[in-house]
Amino acid sequence: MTSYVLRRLVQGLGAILGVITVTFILTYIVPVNPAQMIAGPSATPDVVASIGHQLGLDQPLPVRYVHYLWNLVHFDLGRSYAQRTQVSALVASHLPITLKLMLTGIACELLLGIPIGILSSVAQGSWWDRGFTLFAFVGVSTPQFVVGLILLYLFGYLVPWFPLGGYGNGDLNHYVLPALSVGFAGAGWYARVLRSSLVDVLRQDYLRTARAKGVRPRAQVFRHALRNAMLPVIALVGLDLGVFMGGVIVVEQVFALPGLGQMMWQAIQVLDIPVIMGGVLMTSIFVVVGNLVADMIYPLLDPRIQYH
Amino acid sequence: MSDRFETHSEVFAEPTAPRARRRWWQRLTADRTGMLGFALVVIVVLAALFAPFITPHDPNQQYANGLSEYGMPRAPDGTYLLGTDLLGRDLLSRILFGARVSLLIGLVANGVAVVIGAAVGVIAGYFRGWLGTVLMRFTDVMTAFPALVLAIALAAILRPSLWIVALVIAMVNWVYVARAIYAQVLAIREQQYIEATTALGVPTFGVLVRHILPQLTLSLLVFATLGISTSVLLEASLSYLGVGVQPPTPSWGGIINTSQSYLTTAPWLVIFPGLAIILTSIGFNLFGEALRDALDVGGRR
Repeated sequence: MTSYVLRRLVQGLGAILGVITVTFILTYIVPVNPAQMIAGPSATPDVVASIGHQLGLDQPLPVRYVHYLWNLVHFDLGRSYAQRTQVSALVASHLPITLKLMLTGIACELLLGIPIGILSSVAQGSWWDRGFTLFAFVGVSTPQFVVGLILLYLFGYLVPWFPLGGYGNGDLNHYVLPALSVGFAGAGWYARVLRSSLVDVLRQDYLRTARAKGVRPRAQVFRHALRNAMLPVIALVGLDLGVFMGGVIVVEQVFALPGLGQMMWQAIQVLDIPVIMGGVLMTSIFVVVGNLVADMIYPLLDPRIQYH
Repeated sequence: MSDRFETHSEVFAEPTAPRARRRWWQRLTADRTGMLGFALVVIVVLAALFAPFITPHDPNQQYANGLSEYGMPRAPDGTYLLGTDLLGRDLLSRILFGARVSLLIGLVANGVAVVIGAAVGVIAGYFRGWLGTVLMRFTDVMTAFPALVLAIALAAILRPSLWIVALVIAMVNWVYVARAIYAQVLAIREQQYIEATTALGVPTFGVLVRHILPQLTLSLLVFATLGISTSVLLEASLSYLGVGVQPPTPSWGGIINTSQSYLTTAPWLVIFPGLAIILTSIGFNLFGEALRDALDVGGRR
């Protein structure tokens, strides 16, 4: 078990190093001279060259790569061209909102998906079941921003239960519709996954034993079957994190939530490369860490699996 | 699995399943939701192909009577069936022409993604060794990037145009194909007929193209269908964020982007393009799933 955890940690670190390297290469191939961006369009070549020297742009690529890594270890993501602040400070101020949206979104996925999955597996082939299958397909086929805009129109305007976007003072009210928008697709999909795994588990011998000794149907599902049937769902939540993260970034734009997505969007308007890349790097590290956490939860839920 | 090829006469036979192959299209046509998906796909393809002939108005023309007396977009009525946009252009015509953009990008992006993914998967799976390790490690790293976030950054840096958008989507989507194909090739290369062809002196390239690739055709076909849905959704999201297809070219995501601030006064400008995206994506999803079930090949999302 310990060696499994250690190996996954090393793999995770390797993935993060890979992500950093690819980000570095992308930053390098950009057809924009950072020194020119900082100095402005009217700067003389001398000024541009001297800023380039300060940034280390005249150094060979491997030296710059080591420099880049060294800075990252010290949480230095470079300076923003447009805002003249450290990218790390920008990230730190936008990160909590993205994090909140992620957590509330995953909560929506599970709080909607699990009950729907249980209902459909118990009532297999019923109209309920078919309706939810359709719901799952609509969910994965709808971009999160369309879900967001429809929810905004219905529950922000027609029935004004929730604010029309914005962050306000950051209370939960502002997160309900965004979280539903990012969780909509996952809710349908995980319900389908849970349904099929629950159907399999309910057929197993130990549940026949449970039925034979007279365990009530509700306890069969909730006390005996659900824990096993949840395993594929947990694995999927971890695997889907990349897709989910994309949804979070777009939905922030729909609801004008000042998270990492907004930070990147503003940076894109002025081609502020360090900020864009800082956003890419942060969200990718999130995905890697999220995968790790899912992998760590997995053996806790299922002690039968042997890890070496 | 391999004991089917134990006898000498069968060593060189490609593993085929004649019964299943004869009837896959019967299973497909019997799948009612799959056929619903197929119908949606056909509708979108026809709309894209015949857009210039069936659109009631010019998609880029700003009509004088296209705005209300307060300068607001017109709601759906007899003249403009789905209403008009902020500049007084006919929404229905723009949506029909938008189908061209969506489908073109979906097909090109997904085609490139399937080709890259198949190449990487086959090479990594067949040669294994350091080359396979490097390729698959690289694939793993690329999967760690959230697809949409990486696509936003790439599209913003490379300056969006129709082909750049398609390429960017391909660059983030090939990883899923590569992973699935890699796993399949690992299994295929262990089969005895591959060993036999290699022993007969068939060159590596011939083994790859003549004997391994045909085994992957069905999976690739399913990826080519299901992946279009993912690509269409990505294009819509990129255009919505303003880093996809640029105006005045009509794209569904772009229409929503420019009219979002009119959500409460002109909701049709968000609802109808949104419906177009959803129906196209559902169509390819349902049809792709049915195809996968009928052909009995693995692979999800």
